[in-house]
Parts: sequence; C-alpha cells; structure tokens
Amino acid sequence: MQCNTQGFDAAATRACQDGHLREVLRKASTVFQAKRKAGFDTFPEAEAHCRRAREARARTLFRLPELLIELESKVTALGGRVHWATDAAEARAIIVGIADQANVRSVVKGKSMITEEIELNDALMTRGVEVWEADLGEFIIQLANEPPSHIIAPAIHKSRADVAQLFAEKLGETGVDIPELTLVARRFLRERFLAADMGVTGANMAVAATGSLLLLENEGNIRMATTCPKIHVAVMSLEKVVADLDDATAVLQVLPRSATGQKLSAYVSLLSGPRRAAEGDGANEFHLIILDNGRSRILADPLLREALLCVRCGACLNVCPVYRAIGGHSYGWVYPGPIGAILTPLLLPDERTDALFRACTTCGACAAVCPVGVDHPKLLLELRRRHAVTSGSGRASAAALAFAASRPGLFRAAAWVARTFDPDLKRLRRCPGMGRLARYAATRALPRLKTPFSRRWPVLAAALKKGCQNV
Amino acid sequence: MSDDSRTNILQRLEAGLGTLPYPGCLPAPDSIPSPLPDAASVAVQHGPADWRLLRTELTNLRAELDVATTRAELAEALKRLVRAYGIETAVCWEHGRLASIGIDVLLAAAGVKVLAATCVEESGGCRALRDVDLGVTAADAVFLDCGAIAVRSGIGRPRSISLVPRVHLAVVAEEDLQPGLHVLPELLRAWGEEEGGLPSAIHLISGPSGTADIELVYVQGVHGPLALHVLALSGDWAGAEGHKR
Repeated sequence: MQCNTQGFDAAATRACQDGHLREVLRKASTVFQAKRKAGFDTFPEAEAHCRRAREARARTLFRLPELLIELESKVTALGGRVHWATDAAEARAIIVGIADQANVRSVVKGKSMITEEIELNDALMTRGVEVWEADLGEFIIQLANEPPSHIIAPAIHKSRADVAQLFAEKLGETGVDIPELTLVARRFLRERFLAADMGVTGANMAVAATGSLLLLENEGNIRMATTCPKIHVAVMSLEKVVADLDDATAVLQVLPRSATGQKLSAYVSLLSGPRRAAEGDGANEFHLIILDNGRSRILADPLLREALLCVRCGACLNVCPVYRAIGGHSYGWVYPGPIGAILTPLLLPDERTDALFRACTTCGACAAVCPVGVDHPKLLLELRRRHAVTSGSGRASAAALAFAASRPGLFRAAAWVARTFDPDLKRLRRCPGMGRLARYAATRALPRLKTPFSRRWPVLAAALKKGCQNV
Repeated sequence: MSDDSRTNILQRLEAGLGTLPYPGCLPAPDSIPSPLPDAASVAVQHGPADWRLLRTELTNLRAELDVATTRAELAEALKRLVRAYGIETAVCWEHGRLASIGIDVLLAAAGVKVLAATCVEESGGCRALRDVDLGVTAADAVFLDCGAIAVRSGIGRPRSISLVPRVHLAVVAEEDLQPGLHVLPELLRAWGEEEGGLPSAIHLISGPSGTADIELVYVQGVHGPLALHVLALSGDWAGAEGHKR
C-alpha cells in the first residue's frame, strides 16, 4: 500500500464531513467496545493475564536476536526455509522469486497487514500472477481497489448495498442480504483456494522453541490458504516471535478477547513446518520471511521501542476519538488509529508523517485498553517533542512568550490589548506572521482570556460579604 | 542477498539492544517468566456437569453438542445429524476412537456414503472434499473454559477434513476434557514428546467459520464449515473402543 500520509489533513477534513462514514464508525466502535468489555468482564484474573502477555512480549524484545536465530534453526530442522528481508523491496523480491521458481500462477492470501506494508499484491500481479485476498473484508476492498480502513474489519466503511453493487460489477453475481452476499464470496473464493498454487499469510506469532507459526482467524481463509496450495509463504515482522509455548499462550489468552471479545477466535492454527511424508494435505513447501523494514531501528530507541509490544488487536482504534471521527483511510498508510500514528512515522522516517502524531487528544483511552500496556500518548508526545526539536517549529512563538513573560509590564500590556480587541482570540489567526499558531487556531475554540482580577474583585467582594452575612 | 540481510538485521538488533539501558517500563530480560494464570473458576468434574458446561460454551459459539452414553444413543445422534443437515456423503479420519465406535458403519447405516481419509491424498488434496457434506474427526482436547476443541492432524488425519466439508463433526471423550487454555503449553509439550516433535498442524476450533465483515452483521459459515457439531462419548466406553490411535 502506497504511503499518502502527507494528505492527512485534507483526508481527515473530508472524512469528518462524510455523515455515512461517521455513522459507520460510531456503530463499529460501539459494537467492538461492547464486545471487548463483555470478553474481559467474564475473564477471571484479566489483569494478571494482561500483565503476563506484556511480559511475554517484552521478553521477546529483549531477546530478539537469539529468539530469531532459534526460530530459524527450528523451522529449518522441520523442513521449512527461512528468508531474511531488510526492507519491503527485498521481501517482495524473495516472494516473487519463490513464485517464479515454482511457476506459480495463482495466489490466495489470508488477511495480513504485513503484506499490505510490503505492497506484495502489485509485485506478484505485475509478474502475471493472479492474487486473491481471501478474508471477506479484504476481498471486498480488493474488488473496490481501496486500502483497508480497520485492522480487524477492513471493509467496515462499506454498506451491504455497496458490496452488492460491487459484486454485481466485478463478479457478475450478487445478493440482497448479507448472508447471501457472503455465500457469493464463499463460492467464488472456494474455487480460487482449490486452484491456488501458493498461499500467503502473515503471522500472529512464531514460537522460537518449536519453530511453529501461530495464526488466528474466524473465517477459515487462512486455514484454506495454508492447507490447499502446495506452497505456503508466511511473512512475519521480526518482533512477532515469542520465546516458547507458554509465552505464545499468554498472548493468545488476551489477543482475541481484546480484538473481538472472543475467548478464542474460531480457528487458531499452530503450524510446524511443511506437511510430513505420507500426510494427505498441507503445503509441501513452507517459507518464512522475517522482515525488518525499520523495526531494528525502533528497537534501538529506548523511548519508543515499546511500540513493538503491539499485538495488532485493534482495540486502541475503537476507543480513539480521532479514529472514530476520521476513520482509517485518512491515516494514509497500512496502520491506522493510535498505533498507526506511532508506527507509521517510525517505519517511514522519510515520509511526511508529522500530522499523524499530532492527531491525538492525549485522552489516554488507547493506553487504557491496550492488552499489553502500550502507552500510546507517551509515545506520541515523544514523537511531537522530537519533531519540534528537529523542525524548529514553535521556537519563535515560544521565544516571544518567554520574552514577554519575563517582563511583567510588557506581558500585562499585551494581555490588556488582547482582552480589549480580541477577548475570544478569534482574530488571532488573521494576524500576520502567526503561521502555525494561526492554523492551529483556525479549527479550534481557544480558551477565552480571563477578565483581570481587579475588574472581577467588586463582584467577588459582594458575594463574600453576602455569604458572611448569611452565616 | 538473504545471508547478508540476516547478518545485517541481527547485527542491528544486537547493537540496538546492547548499547542502551533497559527502560523501567519493561521487565528485565533475565526475569523469570510468571506462571500462566489459571482459570480457577473452571475445573473438570468428570461427570454430567462437564457436559453442561461444554454445552453452554458451544451454544455461545453457535455449535451443537450431543452426548451419547450408549451405542444406541450414538447411532440415534448420528441419524439426527444426518437428517438435520441433509448429509449424503461423509469422510472420516483414520483414528482409533472413530474405528472402535464404528462411526463409518453407523453413518452408512444412516444412509450416508462414507469415504476413507486416503481419498484426500489420492485425489490431490482439498479438491477431493469439495462436494463432501460431512467431515468427521476426533478431538485431542476440549477446553471447558472456552469450548474450543484441539484437533491434531497427521498421517490418515488430513487437515482438510475439519475444513472443507460443509459440516464438521468432532468426536470427543471424557479423557479429552481440560479445564482451560492455561494447560495448552503442557498439552502441546506432551503431544510433542509423544510424536517426537509437534505435529505439522494443530488447530484449535471454536465454532463454525464465521464473519462480520459486512456491516458487522454476523454470518455463520464463510470459507470453512457452515456448522460444527460435537459428539461427546460420556461414561464407560472402554468396552467398545480402544480410543487411542
């Protein structure tokens, strides 16, 4: 998926004016939050489970090199092949190479954000390979040629009428109600699963101690993509490895609950290497792509490495007042919401992403629901601080304020002028040279300047006198 | 290309971790892992209460449970299943438990054409099952705290049998009952020791396939089975079966 983060302000403004989108987002966030709450309300020792999951993820970060080496050794021993990719281009080249070597003509994909990140579909399609997204939501947005708008529900912005029209145009078959539309997709994709040469998935986790891949889903598309084709390629960002089965279970206990409120997703697949001799199905070839693409840089940052704890449950999106107002597309890249506002600037340091980390009210709702305790506002504020330091933005106004504040007479005079001519600070934005402050003020209601104490005193004195008389 | 990348990535990770202090918000790398919290509210009772609890969980998951204590009840439960879903063809795992209760014979008696699991390999994988109505597997564990069943694939036990047919029937026994997911690592390790390493595929299945990707409206049955039916063998079946594969 191509980066379009520089268009954030315009996209967010458009999204805010889209009544249908606002309604869809309101409904979705309400439903997801209610499900998550129900999932955790009935979860004995929920806090202990979350602490344990955070511990598992933290252990991963501190032992990443050794865990990845152990994973590589175990996967290889099981008959799989491990490939290392420093960036998206290398990951694409590796997968295209595997496809070329095996003369792959058709690929089915399980839902994965990492393959969006590396823009895999285009790379395969330009080689003449047919690529089908198999998760229903991903399939819908593939047909519509749009990016996903939510980590868990990629086509959340599409109504049933949109989908019906899309299916009619693209598949030549459609339905009226939602079960009917789902059946149309099932029939269409089942033929693709059965004919596919290669299945591509992401990875929710990989267990270093056993060389196993852990995949979670509800639809069965990932199981189909890993069972029917002869080749299975899994793309994993390097921080998804966990030390052992205990740590994997610790994360498994909280991930589905936090995502959809389910105790467990309908299917959890634990795949250890390719199929064994004499087994009837499963991929004959298994390739694991370990992708860095900027993660090692994040790990080296002691203040921001916490972002790598994320398990992609999407809970932070559903509670975020900004995401709920603007939706996922406004963020301009793969990862939306609070975690996207952190990850995107870190993974794409050369792109213009400063609007993303400013799109946060620092309300803290995201941190409160994160099952592994990522403190999103803290990380966003750190990104803002660094941007202010490197870009020099705000230095002039801060210097002017400091100059005035250290001269009480000048400060009082300036405040008097402002109170007299612009008590609500509405005209501030029109002042020449206000630059960023004027842009900031253009879309916000600034706090009104207070009346001086000397003018408020008669009223206060009268009230006090009255109160004393009553006593 | 990949060798250089491997070296570069590992060097960057080592350098990143080696030169920086560990922030206080994360546990130290050498800290001893905490034990997994257990689901203290659930315990295996070895009686009817277990099946009641499992029924509640499976109902929440939109799956069905039949409990059979005798061979006659088992035959009757299978007949009901065949009628309810209009089953005409079935395929069964090669598994000691399924063989010992004669599930293929019982299904045939209910008018179902039963295929052997070898058809999957002989016909080139999943395609063999595209028109099969019912896939029958055993389960290796049932977790009472969430209703999930664990299915271990292997030789004679293709993965696709619990995936491609439109109905999945899983046969479970009392010995499979487990209190909760917190015992999963222990179970997996035991299976690994039993088979000389983890099997190529283990699936935890919690209900039929489903989606809510259009307008968040739940629809049962997408790419996997449209229905999950669990058949529990309750009581003393030792005379009728050897159970283990």
